Amino acid sequence: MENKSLSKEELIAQLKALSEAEAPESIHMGAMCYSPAPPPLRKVKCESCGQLIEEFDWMSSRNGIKKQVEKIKALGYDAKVEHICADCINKLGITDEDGDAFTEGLYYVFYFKTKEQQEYNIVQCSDEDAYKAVLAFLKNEQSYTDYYDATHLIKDELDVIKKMTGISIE
Amino acid sequence: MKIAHLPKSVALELTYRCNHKCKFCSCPWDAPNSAYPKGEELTVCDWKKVVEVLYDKGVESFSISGGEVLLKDGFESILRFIRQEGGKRGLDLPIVLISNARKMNEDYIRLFKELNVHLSMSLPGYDTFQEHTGVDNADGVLHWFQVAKRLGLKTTLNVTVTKKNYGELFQTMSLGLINGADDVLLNRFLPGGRGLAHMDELMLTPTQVNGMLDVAEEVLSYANKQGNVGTEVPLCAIKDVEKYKHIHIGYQCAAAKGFFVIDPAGNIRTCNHSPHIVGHAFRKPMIEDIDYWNTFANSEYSPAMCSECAMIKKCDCGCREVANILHGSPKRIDSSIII
Repeated sequence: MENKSLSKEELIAQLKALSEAEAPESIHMGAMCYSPAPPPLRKVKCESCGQLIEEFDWMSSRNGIKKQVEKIKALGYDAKVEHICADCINKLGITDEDGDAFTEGLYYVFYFKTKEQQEYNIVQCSDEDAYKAVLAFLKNEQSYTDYYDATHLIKDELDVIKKMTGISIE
Repeated sequence: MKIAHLPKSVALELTYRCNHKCKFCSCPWDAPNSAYPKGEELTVCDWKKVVEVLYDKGVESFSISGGEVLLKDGFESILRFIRQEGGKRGLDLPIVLISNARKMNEDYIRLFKELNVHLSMSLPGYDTFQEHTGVDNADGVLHWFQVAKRLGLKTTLNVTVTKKNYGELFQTMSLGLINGADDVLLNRFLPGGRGLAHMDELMLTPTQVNGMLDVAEEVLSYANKQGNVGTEVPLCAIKDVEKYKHIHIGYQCAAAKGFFVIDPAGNIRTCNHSPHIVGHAFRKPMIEDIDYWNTFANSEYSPAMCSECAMIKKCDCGCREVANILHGSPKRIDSSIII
């Protein structure tokens, strides 16, 4: 192909020919300079209302959250986790860290109650390590190992555990 | 203080070496008077260990760059290893390989096809290619787009848009697509690396950034193709956000959230543009500068002047690393786009 000799009109004609020959491909990504990694944008169903939500599934931690909650349930606690949309989380009365309503995306919501608790403690949390801390606490362990293989003492995580379970520890 | 988990995508900069001298290059080790610690490059064996560690930490997709990746001895072996280890874990996402194509050959392209590599090749202007890169090879790049197309390999045309090639953007994008590129990635020139020495001659004005988007939309609509702008543009800098149907514009930074970078010596950075090392692939913990990592991972970097903006949750106010490079903090203004 003689690239230099093409006029703008000729370029347009060839571009239009491309449009007739090939179906468009949509590749979305966040702003990531020169690295067009495979699209992290995925359609995920809200586990509460069933709405399909397009979200940037950025992080690699999420699959582990449900496993941790299964382990908590296996200990006999009434616990569940839902991956739900902004509309559904707002209906629960949960706000973001700034006290604002959620506007888009999907969120992990953790429900927990002991036999003594009348109602669920409900919290939005996408940090798998927080679930690990709860699990270790409920198993009466002194520590847990986080994603980076660092060990954390449960006595240093009491605020997290209170937030996740509603259980206050003096 | 805890850090967020690693993003799912990583860019491995396999080598410092390059056979171009691009004026816009943002590799931090090539910045004027750079203090960036260029350590000894990891061996192929080291990189395989890195790949294993990353997979074990939940990383799912890999981009490969440099320097110029084709100059890294044994890069083919690293690619095969990524594919092999991914296969063990049920992962078959494309590996993105970013190259200037100067050392490309048909065997490589066949290998990329075999290993499900998505090839991204740089064409920073057609007439101005040599002026930007120091090398006369624009037709060579276009040739490899043709070959890739013929062999069924998916490709991205990667254009860094500068003041010098702004006037020929229509031609550059058109030639890339006509010669076989499947999609387009535009990056407005960002100050950093060697580019710091060429800011005046390369940096787009805000009007030109809008013009870049208009041209991209025009070309892509003719071809019925899609494209992306990979370097964040503040929403307030765009005159009419709604009119772009074919070019997807990034307003929020993906560094430490969507991807991160490992340099040729194994040092970890939040993005390819950043000169700030936050850790090392072989250390435990891998991320040592947790404050800096979390600034990006948690998007804790909005400039004060943007704090009251209604769009603050959808826009990162330009490139936060440019703010850091030019003004000493990611919380400052990205003056490459905001006046």
